[in-house]
Amino acid sequence: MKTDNHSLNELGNLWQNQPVSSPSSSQLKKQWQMHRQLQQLSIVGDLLTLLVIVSMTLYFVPRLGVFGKSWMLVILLTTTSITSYFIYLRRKSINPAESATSSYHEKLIQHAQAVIRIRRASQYITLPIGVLVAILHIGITLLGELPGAQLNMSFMFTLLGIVGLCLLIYGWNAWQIKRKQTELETLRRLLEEE
Amino acid sequence: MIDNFEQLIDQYGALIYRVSSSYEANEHLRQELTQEMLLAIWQSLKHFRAHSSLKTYILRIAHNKAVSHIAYQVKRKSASDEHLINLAHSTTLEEHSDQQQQINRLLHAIRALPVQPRQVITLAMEGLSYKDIGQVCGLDINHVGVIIKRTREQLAEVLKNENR
Repeated sequence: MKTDNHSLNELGNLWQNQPVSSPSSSQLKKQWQMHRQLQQLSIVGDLLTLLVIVSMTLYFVPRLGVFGKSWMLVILLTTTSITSYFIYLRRKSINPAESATSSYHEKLIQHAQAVIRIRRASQYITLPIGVLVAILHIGITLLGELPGAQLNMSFMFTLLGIVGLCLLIYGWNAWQIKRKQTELETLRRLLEEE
Repeated sequence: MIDNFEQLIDQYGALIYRVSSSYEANEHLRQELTQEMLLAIWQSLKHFRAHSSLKTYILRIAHNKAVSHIAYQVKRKSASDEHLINLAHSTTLEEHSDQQQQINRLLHAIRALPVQPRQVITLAMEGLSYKDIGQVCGLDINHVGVIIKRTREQLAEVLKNENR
């Protein structure tokens, strides 16, 4: 069945007569190359994150005693699994070719909800990880597992640094969640109105 | 089949630009959106399996990409869209021919529609059958018919009122 209504034809003629201007193919090629490079960079970034965690472990573990080694292992497992999960979620993006527009709208809203969930998870996980790192720091100092580590001012500053960083990440995530929720509400209003 | 960017632009550049004009009033953002759509289409062409016509497949990607663009604009909270739409509308109306004025009014009215009727009516104006529109939008044919009838009347009314 064709949409052969006279008035619709008139609208269609107006619509198709609008002036158009397409981008040049060289512009598009440039954009495409940039897009590919960004994709490659993000893969390198993700791998580097994991590499930093593993290198730090490899560097510190031989210098630590039993307590330090076990605690380091706990932190390594926790951070690696969380980082890998986040990388997986970030890579699982929505494909505009796969869905009809109505289900794409739903997916877009679900995606926005998933982003809020990731932010919330990062917010709540920050404090336990901060505590784990602080315990490791105190433990290796008190037990004298790391040569040269002493209870002094620099120890206090490092500890304060860890606590400060965790609070900063916690606060930043809280702010992001608030922002994303407002965006989600606006998006929902735009897409769900009939 | 499309083998390079030149072919893609030659065959579908104008169509994609028209889709982006139903979402963006600002010329700069419209160009940006057109490029985003063409890139998304280029990226997805290798997955095309001829379950529908290539035009239908391309329009689906273009509209979905446009909706992502809306989502991104929500994030960017860029220079107020309303302001840009009004600005684009008022400056062009006085300067162009009768037909151009009619086109601008039509575009303005289309951009004011909710997303789903906007997608359905623009697909209809591109000459897609109810079945193809249903495929692009994931709607049954009857629902497509209802939306087209309602939206067409709405647009005709807007154009009629503004002509007075």
